[in-house]
Amino acid sequence: MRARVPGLAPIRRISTSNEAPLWVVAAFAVVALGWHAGAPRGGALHHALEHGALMAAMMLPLAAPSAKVVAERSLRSRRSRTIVEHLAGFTAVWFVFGSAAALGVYELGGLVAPPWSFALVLVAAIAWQTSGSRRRFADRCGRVRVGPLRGWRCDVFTVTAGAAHAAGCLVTCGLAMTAMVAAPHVLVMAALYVAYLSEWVPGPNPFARDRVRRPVRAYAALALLTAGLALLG
Amino acid sequence: MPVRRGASTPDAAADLDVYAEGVRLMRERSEQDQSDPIGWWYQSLIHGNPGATGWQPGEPDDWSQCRHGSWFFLPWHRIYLMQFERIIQSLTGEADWGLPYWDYTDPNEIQVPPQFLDESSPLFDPDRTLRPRTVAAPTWQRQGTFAAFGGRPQTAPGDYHRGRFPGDVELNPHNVVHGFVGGDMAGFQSPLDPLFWIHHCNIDRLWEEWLTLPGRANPEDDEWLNTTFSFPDPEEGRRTVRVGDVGTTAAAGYSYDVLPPPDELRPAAMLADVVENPRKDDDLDLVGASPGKGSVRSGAHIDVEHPAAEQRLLSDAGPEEQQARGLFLRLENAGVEGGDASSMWNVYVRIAGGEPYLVGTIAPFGLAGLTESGGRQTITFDLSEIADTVAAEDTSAVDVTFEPAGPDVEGEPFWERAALYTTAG
Repeated sequence: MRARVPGLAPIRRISTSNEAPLWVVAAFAVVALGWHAGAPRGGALHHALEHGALMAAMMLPLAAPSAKVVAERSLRSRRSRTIVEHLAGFTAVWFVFGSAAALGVYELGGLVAPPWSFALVLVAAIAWQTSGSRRRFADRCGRVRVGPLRGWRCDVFTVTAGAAHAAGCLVTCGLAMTAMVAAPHVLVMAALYVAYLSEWVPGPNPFARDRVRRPVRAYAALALLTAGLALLG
Repeated sequence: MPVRRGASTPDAAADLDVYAEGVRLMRERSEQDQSDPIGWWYQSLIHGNPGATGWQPGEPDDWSQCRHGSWFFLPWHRIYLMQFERIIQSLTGEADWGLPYWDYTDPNEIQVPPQFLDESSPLFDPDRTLRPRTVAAPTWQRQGTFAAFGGRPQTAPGDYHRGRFPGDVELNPHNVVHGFVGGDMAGFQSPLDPLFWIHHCNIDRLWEEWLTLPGRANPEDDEWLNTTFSFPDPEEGRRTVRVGDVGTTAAAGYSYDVLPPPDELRPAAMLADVVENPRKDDDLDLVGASPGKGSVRSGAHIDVEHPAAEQRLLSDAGPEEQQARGLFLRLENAGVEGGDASSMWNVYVRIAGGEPYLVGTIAPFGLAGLTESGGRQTITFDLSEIADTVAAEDTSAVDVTFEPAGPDVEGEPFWERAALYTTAG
């Protein structure tokens, strides 16, 4: 039998899915939001918690694939820490963008009545989401920067790499997220999120065109839902 | 049921004649109508358009559909070849014709089959460069998982045309042979060269051969099994095939003449190694990395980590796990500036200033297009042959150097980090 050598010897597996906790937290956030939908309105703390749950429900599923890659590319003993650092950078950028988008949507509402302001943002988002330019940007989606193995340089790098990854996502998906912020109803927001995720859905995919048409179909369904809700008042 | 035979074997002579006639007829159809779906030109564009970064709106749905750098590399090309075989069968009336394969893994067949060098033959392509290259031996037989052998699933919504995580058989021999032949074969419209089809037929055969090795299996994920690909068909107009229905050649409806290859063509040591020591890279542990970015011109210096925090996780492993130890070098987030697939670089690893080991060859097939669109790829080399040496000397650092695989190599592959990973199997 060969001698065991530190650092190159077999290592006991601790977890097979490093990003699994993100899905658990996101699921809890969705449940919390659903439970909260019928609760009476509260103060600042209430709104902060609501906003946090919304961020967790929407952002963690989007961050999970890159978090998986980041974890696999770090020392096993640092994987949990790396995921947290990556998420910190990732969500910070989206938080700032989300706040700016909310402000922009509010200002737009002053110029154009809210149902039409949402329609404007939605049309712009659909046009971008299904454009050839945007698909070319999507080629960069799976790219997560890699850097030092340990120490404070590793911590700083991981946070900034998470932020840089989110910045890349802003280009591809920022308009879709802005449409979500502008959504007049939580059901429309949820439907928009499903439409957005439709391009991630694996499965039968014989042609490149279907990667375009699938979101188009999803957005068309969303438009019908929105119109239906508007008719129902 | 079609039987596919080695192109250099006497039995394949008649098959090559049919192939040449089929190519002539397909070219003729394209000369009459370039948009003919079963013509030579259109069929090459199904694989890829040399000037585009992927399918563009306005182009026929069929164009630029090839899958590289992911777990769809093997099944997409299998179905592409099956449809090509049906076209030749239909045009020539040879219903049982089987596409020959070019077995460059066999020392007796390593040269380009002579029929493809005859300038009067439809199988000739004047654009080939066929520059002499010295490259590393493939390591695909060692890989224990489909991900390591054939590629990984994508983790982002971008398409699979140019993926980010190719398997070992795609990197070598697939990319290397594309680079060696050069000309049309160096780009994504490579099916213009008749060698493309017998090259990919061999890659398809290697997939089947790999499945005969102990413990090897195709993915069982629904995403892989239920994905379908659709191609023009000479009889039915269009044919859609489910990946799960062509996971083996028996299921797909054809066979190879020699499978697995005769043992006398394989070094005994490699056979024993393959059977007893499959490399499984589905759960690797990072043990060292270069401090920053690098390129083939700068090389890479990797500090091997032996931190206390990692040692706490070490466990005494049984004999089976000890034997299954693997060591991998990864060039992470790799791209290339300039050159094409024929600009290949050999990868050498030097331990403690000792002799350099040739561990692999970079053949950047398709990498330029991915780089241009901002994408990057992880290129993996199996260093398991020298894992014991690295371990025995308690190595604290590994130097990686690169040498051009020929005298006229251009371009400069680069990466964000060079890293070492181990696995317990």
